[in-house]
Amino acid sequence: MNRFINARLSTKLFMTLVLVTLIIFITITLATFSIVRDLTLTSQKEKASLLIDTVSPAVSLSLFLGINDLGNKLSAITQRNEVIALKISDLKGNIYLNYRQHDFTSSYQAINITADLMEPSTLKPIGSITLTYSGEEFTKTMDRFYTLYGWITISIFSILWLMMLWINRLLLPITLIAHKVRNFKPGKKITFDIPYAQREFTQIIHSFETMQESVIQYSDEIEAINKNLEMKITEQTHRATQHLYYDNLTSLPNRIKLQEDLLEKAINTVAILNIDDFKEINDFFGIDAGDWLLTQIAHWLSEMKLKPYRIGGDEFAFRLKEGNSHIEFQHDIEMLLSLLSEKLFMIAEETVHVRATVGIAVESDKPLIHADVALNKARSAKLPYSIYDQSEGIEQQYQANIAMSAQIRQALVEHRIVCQYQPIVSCAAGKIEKFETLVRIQNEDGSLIAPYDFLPIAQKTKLYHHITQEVVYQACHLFAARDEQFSINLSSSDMLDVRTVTTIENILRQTGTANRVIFEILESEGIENFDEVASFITRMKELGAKFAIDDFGTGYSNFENILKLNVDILKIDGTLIKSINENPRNRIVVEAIVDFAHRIGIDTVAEFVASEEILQNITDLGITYAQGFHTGKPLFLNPKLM
Amino acid sequence: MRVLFLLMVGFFVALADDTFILNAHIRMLPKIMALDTRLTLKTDSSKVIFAVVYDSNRKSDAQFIADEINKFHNGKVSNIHFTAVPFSLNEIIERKDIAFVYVIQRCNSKSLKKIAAWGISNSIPTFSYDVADLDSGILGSIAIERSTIIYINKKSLKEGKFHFDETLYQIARLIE
Repeated sequence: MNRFINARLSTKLFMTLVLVTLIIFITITLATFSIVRDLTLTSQKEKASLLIDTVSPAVSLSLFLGINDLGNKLSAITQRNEVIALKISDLKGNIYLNYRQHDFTSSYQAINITADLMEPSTLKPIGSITLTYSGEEFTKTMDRFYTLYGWITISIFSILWLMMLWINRLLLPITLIAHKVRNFKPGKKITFDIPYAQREFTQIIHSFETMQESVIQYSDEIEAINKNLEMKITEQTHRATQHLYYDNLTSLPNRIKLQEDLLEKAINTVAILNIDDFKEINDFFGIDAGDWLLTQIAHWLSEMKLKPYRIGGDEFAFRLKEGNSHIEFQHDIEMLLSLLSEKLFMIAEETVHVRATVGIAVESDKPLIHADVALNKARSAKLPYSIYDQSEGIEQQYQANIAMSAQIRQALVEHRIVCQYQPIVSCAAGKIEKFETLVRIQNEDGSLIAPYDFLPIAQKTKLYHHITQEVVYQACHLFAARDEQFSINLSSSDMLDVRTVTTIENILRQTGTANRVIFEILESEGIENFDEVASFITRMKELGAKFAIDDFGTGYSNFENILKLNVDILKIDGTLIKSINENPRNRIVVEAIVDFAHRIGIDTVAEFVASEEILQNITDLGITYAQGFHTGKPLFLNPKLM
Repeated sequence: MRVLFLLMVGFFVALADDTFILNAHIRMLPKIMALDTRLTLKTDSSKVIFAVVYDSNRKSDAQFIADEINKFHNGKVSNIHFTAVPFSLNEIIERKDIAFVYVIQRCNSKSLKKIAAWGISNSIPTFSYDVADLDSGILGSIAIERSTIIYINKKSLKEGKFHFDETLYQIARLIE
């Protein structure tokens, strides 16, 4: 069946034609055969019956009358060649005539017809007559029929064969068209030179030609579009490459390009140049002016033949030139810095002096990182440039910081940020009136990590606010059930962080501890961010909170600012207190602070009170509170941690 | 003695030939009577009368034939009940219930003509022993030649308006 479905159209047509013809032919043949056979047989039987009918009355009468000699009466039929045998008998079985043709040897089929012989008057059967009639005519007729149909069959199949050839010829154009169309390519025009094409095929060819013209037209259009697209893609690719590898502002290769270049060539000596105080330039002259300056610097660096990369906002990088030594590279950098310090750039008709700091990594396996480390070192040390030195362990320090950062994060998640509280004792009364909240990280083994080990890292990783919020939460909830005042250290970033401020405010309201809490702020931070800190102080004071300046006396305090901040307590720095007995200068400073506090009506707290002698001294000086190991070590007040 | 013997042989041969024909007549004639399509119209009684006619004083011969007929057919041929009865020439012509007439052998010509004429006028089929009697106007006779042949007088058949089954005419030989 699948073969027929997949066969060629001409084959299908021919097979269908053959099948239909065969069915019709066989049906007609069988019907005709049946009709002819029946008709011929009936005709022969009728002939035999007619013969019987002819003689039957006479025979019946003769039999009725008992005339035995029937031979003469039947000679008319017994002389006929077709009559093979004739038998007449009465009902008792007596045979009156049993004629049989002597020379009958034919193998033709014989037809036997038997009829009753009737008594003439009563029409009762009195015997029977059996005529055996030759089937020769029937057989000959059927033979003629078979011959005729044989010829008809041969004729039909000959016609079918001719039709198949004709169909093949008729459908040949389809094959030729298919072959030509199969090899069609948009750029190649095909011509249909088909012989003997019928009108339908001419129409198909015409349609194909029309389609071909359209395809060629569309193909040309598509090719044009394609070329245009290719150009655009090339353009876009170039643009994307530019975007990817080159800095838009300065057109210098960027950090990615530098990284790829570092991977391509085994030159691992890199210098990173950072423009000093570029933020201030940006802030002062505006971002556009900053960008213009960067462009000028980039142009200047390019002129210096150092093949600069722009790897960040105000950072440029250089690689050691092929064939140059590290010493030459270092010399080039020194020259560059020297020339840069003398170079004047123009911003809005104003001359600007630009200084820069450089970090150099020599033959490093991580040149960018190490150059960056060196840059940070140079900036910290206020050096014009620095070369990365692995022996300094700065990278290890970074790794430790990263590990600590992870530890802080883990401690926050696992609620291992805990607070200890150091008593603050009234010098006059000699009893504990306040506690300072001191944060710790409790390790899984129960040991504690001191705040100076993790707070600086927390400040860099933006985890500081979370720690502050946790400390405020713990302290406020603890002292909600106590009567003492308690102090909490806040950084200026805490006070500037809206979420932290809101959280602190909410906790104070929830716990009702606002009138007993004292926020300790660093003297330096209070001065640097004066307006924001003052705003925070005002907001908290409205709730009832108090403020203390921590480590007072070591910075460059401006008493006017202190007055403006409206703090309640000055916590005198421990370095002044711990040597107060030995160093008269310290004592003078402390006396001045106490005097200032007394004058403006605020309390003072002496830190680092490590002995009875110091306690006595500060009491004599009129300091209000003492805090130190002598008056009380930091301890857990939370019953679960005690 | 030799003459007597020859006469006796001749008598027996003749007798045997007569008996053979007579037997054929006894066997066939009632059946020919049955072929008369108007037979039922020719009698009032339930039994059809088959008349065996004689002349002179040969009643015993007629009686013998009548008895043989009755005996052979047992009073019935086809569905027809009949009886064979001997009648003299004079008796017969007075009768109106005769269906078929058989004239025995050796009747004289005058008698034969008379009975033939009576038969024709009354449409009563008349058969006789001798085929030669057909010349006297007798309707038919049965002769045994190479085969059994029924002779029918064509003229008498027309004149007497007889109605026999058509098949009879197929096997009978019509003579002028």
